[in-house]
Amino acid sequence: MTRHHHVRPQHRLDLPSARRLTLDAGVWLSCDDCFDQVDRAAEDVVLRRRPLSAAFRSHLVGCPACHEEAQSLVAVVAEGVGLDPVEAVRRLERQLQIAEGV
Amino acid sequence: MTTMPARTLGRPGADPGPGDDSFDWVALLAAPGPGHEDAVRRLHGLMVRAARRHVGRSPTSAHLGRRTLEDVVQTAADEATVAVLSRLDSFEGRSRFTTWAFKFGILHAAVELRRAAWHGREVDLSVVAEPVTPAAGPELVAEAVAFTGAVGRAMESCLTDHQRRVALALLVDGVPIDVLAERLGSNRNAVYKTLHDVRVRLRAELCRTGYLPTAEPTDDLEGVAP
Repeated sequence: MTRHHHVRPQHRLDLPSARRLTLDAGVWLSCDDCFDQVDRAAEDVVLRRRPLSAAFRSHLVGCPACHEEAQSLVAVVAEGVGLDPVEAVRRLERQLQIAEGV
Repeated sequence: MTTMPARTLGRPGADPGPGDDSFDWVALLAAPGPGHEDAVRRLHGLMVRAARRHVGRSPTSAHLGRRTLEDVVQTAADEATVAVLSRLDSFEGRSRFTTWAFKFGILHAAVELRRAAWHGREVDLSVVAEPVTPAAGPELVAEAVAFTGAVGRAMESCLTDHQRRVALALLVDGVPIDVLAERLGSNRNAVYKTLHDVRVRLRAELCRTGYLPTAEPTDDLEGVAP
């Protein structure tokens, strides 16, 4: 009888993963809190050019899903008022780099 | 009930513009009456636009076919329209109504997209990580190997099985947070809280063992120019 071995994929802990795991968690903000604030924050970035709160920035740096959704919202808001969505997303990213200490 | 002039809603697919009257949107969407059906139709159009924008820019879309992507857009737009209508009373006017509504379209598109991309794929929930040697120069390799080794040891000594499982799936294997939450029978908030706690524990241990600088008080970045 032939035996079939199921090979489980292994978690490969490399340097980028290690850095993501040890990112400064910053001020706590839940994904729901982030969702509550993201519309105002997107307009702050696109329309008012105001700085985002430290907690909101920390959350976007630490949560890839909320980060991606915030980028899309910023792009849609920028398009709606005739601004360049790529530049608007860059503006968001610049604020996150400050939070990340880059 | 306020009747919204056509120019306030604007043409389908476009923002109403700076004169966006949030009260009119809410009033028209909240109850049946003149203009209600038209407002719902236009809201659905906004949700399609938001969903399509997200699907169009997300790297996750590259792995899915055109038909699947269109299904994602339409499903997300339908669900987001229902979500907006059911949460109208939570709109506080802190942003334009259209911005507030767009976030539902994007959220539903993002969740649907990740779900579609991971449909039928196994999520490895084992708890052992295997450190790898980065491809770089000798000094960088030594430093990187030492750091990843320290992170691996800290994961073994400081985390619970559940915390290791969540951390490895999210940040090593790249499983999206809502996909993992679904597989674990949990929710996005709870999974992110676990990840937050993981980072706090790992950083404390790496500071203690000298692999990270001792934590200083968090800078308040309020007021930093964008």
